[in-house]
Amino acid sequence: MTELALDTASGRLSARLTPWDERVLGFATAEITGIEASSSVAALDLLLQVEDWASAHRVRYLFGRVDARHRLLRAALLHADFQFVETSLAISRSGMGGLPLVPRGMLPTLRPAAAADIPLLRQIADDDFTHGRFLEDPAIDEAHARLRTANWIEDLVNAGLAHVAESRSRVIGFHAELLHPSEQRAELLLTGAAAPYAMLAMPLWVIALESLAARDIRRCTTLVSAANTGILNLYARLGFQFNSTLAGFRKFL
Amino acid sequence: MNTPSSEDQVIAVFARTLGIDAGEVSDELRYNAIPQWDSIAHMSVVAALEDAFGIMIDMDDVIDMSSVGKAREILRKHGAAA
Repeated sequence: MTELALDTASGRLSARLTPWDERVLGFATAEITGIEASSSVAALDLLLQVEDWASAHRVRYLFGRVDARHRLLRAALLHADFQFVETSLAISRSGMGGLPLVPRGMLPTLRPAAAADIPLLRQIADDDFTHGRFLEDPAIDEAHARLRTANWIEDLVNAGLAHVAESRSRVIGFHAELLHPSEQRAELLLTGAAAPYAMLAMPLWVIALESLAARDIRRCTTLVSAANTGILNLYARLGFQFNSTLAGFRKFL
Repeated sequence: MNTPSSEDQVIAVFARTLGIDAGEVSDELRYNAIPQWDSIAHMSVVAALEDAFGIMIDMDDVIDMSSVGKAREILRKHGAAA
């Protein structure tokens, strides 16, 4: 069973194995994707059960995120010897009007990424992305964490979710998104400019959002590392709202 | 090299756009050397220079504009009296 769903009168917990992380870390990993509990006792009981499930799958690294306002859950996690290693912000934008003005000549073009783009996109992800769950965990080897980001963009290309951002035939970055057309909503999965073109970050995001608007997407959401102040300033300028703060935790089993 | 002064239009554009005192702007001031001049502000600087000098700055020059001095060189290349 690659997923776990616990549902009791006093709480719920869901978890899944994450083989894409195991691929780079070299040991089994799992993510707690949701946890709710009405009491500390209930939270601790759920955490014990998920650890049992994880151990049965030889998981060595169990991780997840909880709303930072949820004192009871955070206390339970600490009590169960989890450690908090990163903080993320859930942000969103409703409506695509009022984007910052960017000289039209500065806007890159977006085209669907193809297999031939993978080596360069992997290189950008490996070299120029410095934030994320694993990149910010001091216990994770940095090279492995970077490799995980590179694998991620390759997976996104293969899933048809990634676009290449080009300017004058030069690849300046990429953008990946998951659309939910029936809800007119999109998740921004992974977007970034290559370091030499960092000055073009704003035009890259603007063209990505304009592209969503052209497809009748009216709301987009994403998750940003709280340590990535540069990108937070960018999203603030782009008119995103900061919805919640998530405390990222993990435990080596 | 130009001497920064309140008369210097390049300095004035940078100071106004970045929201800093003109005395803090010199030809040696580099992109990302101060928090105010990040990738977001860079687009505003480019737009403000285009407006102030009546030119269009192309993509290569936008990427190449790594300092105030470099901006001045680019403006001169476009025939602007910078």
